Amino acid sequence: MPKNILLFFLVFSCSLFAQVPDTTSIPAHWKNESIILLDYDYSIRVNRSGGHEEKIRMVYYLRDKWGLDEVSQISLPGVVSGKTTEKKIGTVYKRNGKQITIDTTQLIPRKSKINFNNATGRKTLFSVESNNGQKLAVPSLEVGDILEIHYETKISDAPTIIPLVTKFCALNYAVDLWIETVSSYRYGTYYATIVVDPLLMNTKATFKSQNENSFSIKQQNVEKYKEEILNDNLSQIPYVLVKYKYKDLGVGNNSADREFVKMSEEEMKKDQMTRVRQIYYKKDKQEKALARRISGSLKKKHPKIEDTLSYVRDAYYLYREIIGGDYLYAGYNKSGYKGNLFFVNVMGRVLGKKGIKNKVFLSQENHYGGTSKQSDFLEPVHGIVIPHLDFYLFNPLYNLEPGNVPSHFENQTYVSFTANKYYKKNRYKWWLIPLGVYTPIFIAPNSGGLLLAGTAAGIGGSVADIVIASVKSKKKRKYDYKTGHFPLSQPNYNQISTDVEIKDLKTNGKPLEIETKNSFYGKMKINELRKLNNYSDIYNMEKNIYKELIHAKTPVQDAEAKTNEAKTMKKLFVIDLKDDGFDVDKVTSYNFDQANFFNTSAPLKYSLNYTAKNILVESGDYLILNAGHLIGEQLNVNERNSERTQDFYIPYQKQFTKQITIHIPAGYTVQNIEDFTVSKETTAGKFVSKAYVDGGKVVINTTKTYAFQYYDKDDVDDIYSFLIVAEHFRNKRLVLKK
Amino acid sequence: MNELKRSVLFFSFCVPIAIGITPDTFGQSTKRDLKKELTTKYADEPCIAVKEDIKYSFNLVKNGKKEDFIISENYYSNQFTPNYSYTKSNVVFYDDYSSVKNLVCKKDGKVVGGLPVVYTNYEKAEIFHDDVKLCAYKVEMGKNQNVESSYTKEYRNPRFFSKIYFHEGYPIAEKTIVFEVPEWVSLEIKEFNFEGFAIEKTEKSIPAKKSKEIRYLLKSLKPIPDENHKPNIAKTHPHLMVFIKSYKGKVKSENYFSSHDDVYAWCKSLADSVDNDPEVFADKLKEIASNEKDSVLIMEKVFYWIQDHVRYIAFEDGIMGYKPQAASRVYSMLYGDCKGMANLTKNMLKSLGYDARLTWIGTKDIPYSNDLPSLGVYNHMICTVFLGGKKYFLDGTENFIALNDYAERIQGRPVMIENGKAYINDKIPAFETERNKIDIKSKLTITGPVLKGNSTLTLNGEEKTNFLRAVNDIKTENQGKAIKSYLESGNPDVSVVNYSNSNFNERKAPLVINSEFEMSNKVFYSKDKKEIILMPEKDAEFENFLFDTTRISDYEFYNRYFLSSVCDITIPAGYSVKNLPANVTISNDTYDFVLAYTQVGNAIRQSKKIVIKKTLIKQSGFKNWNEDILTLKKFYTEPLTLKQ
Repeated sequence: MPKNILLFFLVFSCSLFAQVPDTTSIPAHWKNESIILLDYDYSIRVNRSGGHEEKIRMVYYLRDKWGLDEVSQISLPGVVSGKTTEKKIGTVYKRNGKQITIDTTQLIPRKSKINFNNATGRKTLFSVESNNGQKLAVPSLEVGDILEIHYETKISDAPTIIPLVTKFCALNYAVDLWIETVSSYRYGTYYATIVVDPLLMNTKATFKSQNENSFSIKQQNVEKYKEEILNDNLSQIPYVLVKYKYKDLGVGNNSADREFVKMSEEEMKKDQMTRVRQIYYKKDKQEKALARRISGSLKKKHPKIEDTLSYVRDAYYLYREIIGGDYLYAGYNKSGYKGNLFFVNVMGRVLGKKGIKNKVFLSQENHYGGTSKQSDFLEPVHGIVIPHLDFYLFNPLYNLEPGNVPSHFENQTYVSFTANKYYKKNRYKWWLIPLGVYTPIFIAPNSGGLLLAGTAAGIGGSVADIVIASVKSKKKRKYDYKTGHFPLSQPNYNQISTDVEIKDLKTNGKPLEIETKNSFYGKMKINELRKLNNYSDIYNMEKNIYKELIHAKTPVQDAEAKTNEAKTMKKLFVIDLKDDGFDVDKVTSYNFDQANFFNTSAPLKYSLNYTAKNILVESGDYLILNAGHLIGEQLNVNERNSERTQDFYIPYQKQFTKQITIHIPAGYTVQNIEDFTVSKETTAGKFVSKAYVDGGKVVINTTKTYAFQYYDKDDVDDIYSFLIVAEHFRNKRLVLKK
Repeated sequence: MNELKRSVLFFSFCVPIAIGITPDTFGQSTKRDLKKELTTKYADEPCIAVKEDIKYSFNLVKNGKKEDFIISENYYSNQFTPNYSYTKSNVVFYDDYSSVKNLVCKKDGKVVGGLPVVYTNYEKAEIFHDDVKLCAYKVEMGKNQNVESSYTKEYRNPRFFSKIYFHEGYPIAEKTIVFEVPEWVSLEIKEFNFEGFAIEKTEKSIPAKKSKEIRYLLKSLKPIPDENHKPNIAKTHPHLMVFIKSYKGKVKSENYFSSHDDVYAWCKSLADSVDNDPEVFADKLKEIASNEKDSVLIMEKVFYWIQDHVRYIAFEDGIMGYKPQAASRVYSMLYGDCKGMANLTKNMLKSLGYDARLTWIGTKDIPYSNDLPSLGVYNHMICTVFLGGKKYFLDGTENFIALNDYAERIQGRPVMIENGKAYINDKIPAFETERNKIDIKSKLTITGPVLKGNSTLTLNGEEKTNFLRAVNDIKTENQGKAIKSYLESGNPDVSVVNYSNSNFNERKAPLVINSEFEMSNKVFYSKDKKEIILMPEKDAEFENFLFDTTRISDYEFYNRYFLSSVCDITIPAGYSVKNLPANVTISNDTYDFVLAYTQVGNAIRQSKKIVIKKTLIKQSGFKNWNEDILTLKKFYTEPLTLKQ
């Protein structure tokens, strides 16, 4: 038995008889915590088959009734009869230091497994879901108890992300990871790479050791992970990332096919070719066929390419239209890289044939694996960049306008490679190097060699560097590689602009009529289009643009269908308005003015008129209008500045502008227009409002801007300050007097 | 036959055929007409039943040397989807004393093979029934498709065979419920809520089978609406309760529930069969009682200990939810259902020498008197202690309830208290609505654009216990925020600056919370500052409590409501009252809304008294209620004006 394991068992078995942890060392600022993890010991042993064993020891200190209920909802190991691939080996429970047995004869099902519509005394079901047999044993506990749980499991998969925080504050938090390996060698090495994001580590952490195949850490006083507004939770959690390289014996993610093996360079090449062929080459015919079809369809509209961008856009549109939801097309796989690669291959052929130079790019989504400052986990191919136009085409899965960058790629780096020669020759080979469990990475075609992330760059190196280093080493062929950066769109690029008009305040007690004209730009337009996509007017607008390219039939609706659809749309708008905080009486009318599907700089426009209640009070000589309400629901800041624990993140910058026009009834004057002029601007954003009386109208112009993507938590006031001003503005009332 | 006759005969056959009339045409066209009529009538319903039949028969089935008395329920339903395709879920409930078989589903006359049926436990609103199970399957119904479902359910213990409803969650054109009762079975059928429904009942003798048939027929059944706060349908919809008194079989005869005495005897036998072992908690009782000498105080301490330390997990287990868990077990587990907790309360007190007894009760959801020979009259269990000539009713499931106080759901309810072979009928005391009083006293002063104020909030009765439960269930770290949010009443213009409260573990005294707050966007000035416009309403109770005009069911509050609020607004120096909103005085059998502004010295006093005297608002009263709420709302939103 390897020494490490023996030592581990000795240490672990000793800990079983350890004293009940001392609760007096709990920090004072944790005094209101419902549950505190006094001890958390997590040991993981990954074996050469890609499965692992876990040994966990958790010691919970239960301090209030909520804590008791919460523990009751935790799946207690040893008594859960689920359908996972877990095999429980043993479980020990202790209450206040004494071993106890959890009564497994009194099991209650995990909550919310079955939905009920109790419409009748006979309990008719509305929908049925299987509860997968999972039941919970309720432990016999009281407030103030210390519950200790030790258990071991064997899992037929290998962990990739091991978090270093939990939802409870922890006095002691230890992780010990060890991966069985074979010795590494230059090519075809299969071993695990352990990557830790040092920026997010608790600075008080003590590393016991960190080398290629083991990692150990002990932390004290670990603050719990908190949910906070305006952050991307995944990227804020400190964790250990484990990357594996292994030989896939089959296609797919079936862990039974994995094996850590030693391979020669020849075996490696052969294996790669086989894999690539299996997945991609057998679909080659479909790629060619689709590329031909697209090129053929474009001939009529573009006998000569006079406007490259227009040609690219039309090609993109055709691809999207033809593929649509047709998953039979050549392994088009909604879940990821296969679909990306297919897109890239087809578009590469179409554009390459016309001499439009393009490159494939690889990048990383913002929230995946650390902050953007530490890109260490590139996703595979996501699309094509046309360098001389500085124009990107992402996989149409993102439902974007061509040229637009999806939210989670904004401000991210990418690495791009050209493959022009291969398009001309119509030969197309990719090497597939699996770098992570789910993330293969591609090298330029016919690189003649293999990418070896671990040996080239060592632990923690940038994969981009690895790719570039490897490519550079091939002298025989010239490769045009480049690192680039997706732009960060400006706030006014992603904007909602609304004109609100109230023409008549004298309602005699009836709901107030409000007319709006709405314009959506950039990402806001995409979001809105997605929502409205099923509406036939929108659908037809899109199809009409490309009637000349494809023979898409615009659906014909009879009068009844049209009426029903209009009803549905109005309901949708009512829901939207209610979400925006309006007490809507009804939507009176709407009209879609422009969609501008493939014009990144032009907005989606529609008008929407409705009546609202509880926004105006008429009393004696006075009219009191909750005019602030017309800016819509505002983000609620329910946290104190001092409580912020994580940096801020939003996928893209954005802006909301409103122009509110209120016609002043004859004989009335505005008493407090100055209340509506406010301004709060910081480096993170602003909320500004200017109000004035213009003839017989009150005009209020508001602008709210989020001018950051990342922002440091220490500068929390820069963000909360303007958000709070906006929140308060919403409650302002305009007073008019006769 | 001459030519003419032949022609007539020929044409009398051919002509009908020529115009498409077949022998079955009239039946089919009637069905089509019915479907069309139903489609029009229930335009928004996804699924409509054309016909439903339930037939009950009583059989003796040989089981080796024994003989089982089985009640068979044969169910048939014919449904169609008029407007669009629909996934229908069909569910049949059963338990340890019944079973379901012969589940068949047909689509447009063809049997659906390989029906995926789910068998699982039933959970209703977080109550887990270990005994109650259900089998369910989904059927994909295309537009205008016919689906027929049938099954047989067999009941092996007639004690658990009781209620049968006519209505379902979907419309039914015609429903029949038939009982074929052999002469060797003695039963009684009681009808409830038949008034207002045209239910046809017929009885006929079937001499060949030596039985009688009792048939109920109801047409044009509207679906039971899915609406919140609707009263238990046992109070509103027609149904039958069947009391199986006895049967005389070939091998044996058996008595079930001929009278309520039999119900008690059976319940008592279950309770007596439990082995309680009071030694388990003997030490704990010593600790709880400690040096206390007063017997009432000791009883109180034990009662509160159970509330605080034993979690109520609604876990209806054990012979259809009627057999209590052993007291020792509940104590060891530190959780239990109502029966287990009642049993623990009884045995803990009994071991201290109290005359403590199990007590069965139907909460206010149960509309039946407890003299019926049925288990269906009880859905809860508590403990009664006889002490000093008085009865104390102890409900361990009601956290934070004080001794001598009773939750509204059991107030005034009849109880059955164990008393050896007999039982004692009694009633839980009922209290006036003022038991639930919310008392608010506030003072406001105008400070520039802001109204500053302080308030003393006192909660009693249901309001108090609900608050205490909620607060104690919240994470400690969130309690402060939650209480602030409660005090701010969800009003974005209100900001609570600080607050203090009486002990959250104190049961007997009212709960008192004092707070200081500021209200913005409530004070406005005319341009020349000669007038002040005030909108001082902070809590605006029931402001938006309007009933949807499409609502079909009556509305039932969880408890009665009593608010008394007085708020004094200091008039700034140099100002006097220009205009006050009109007072509101609305009073009827169900509720009172009395709100007024008056001037008292140099203050304006706002007084509010809102009382919901009866928890049920009938659908016929929604219109008046909505109008009254709008009047209330006008009072809240109308500004006061002061002038210089």
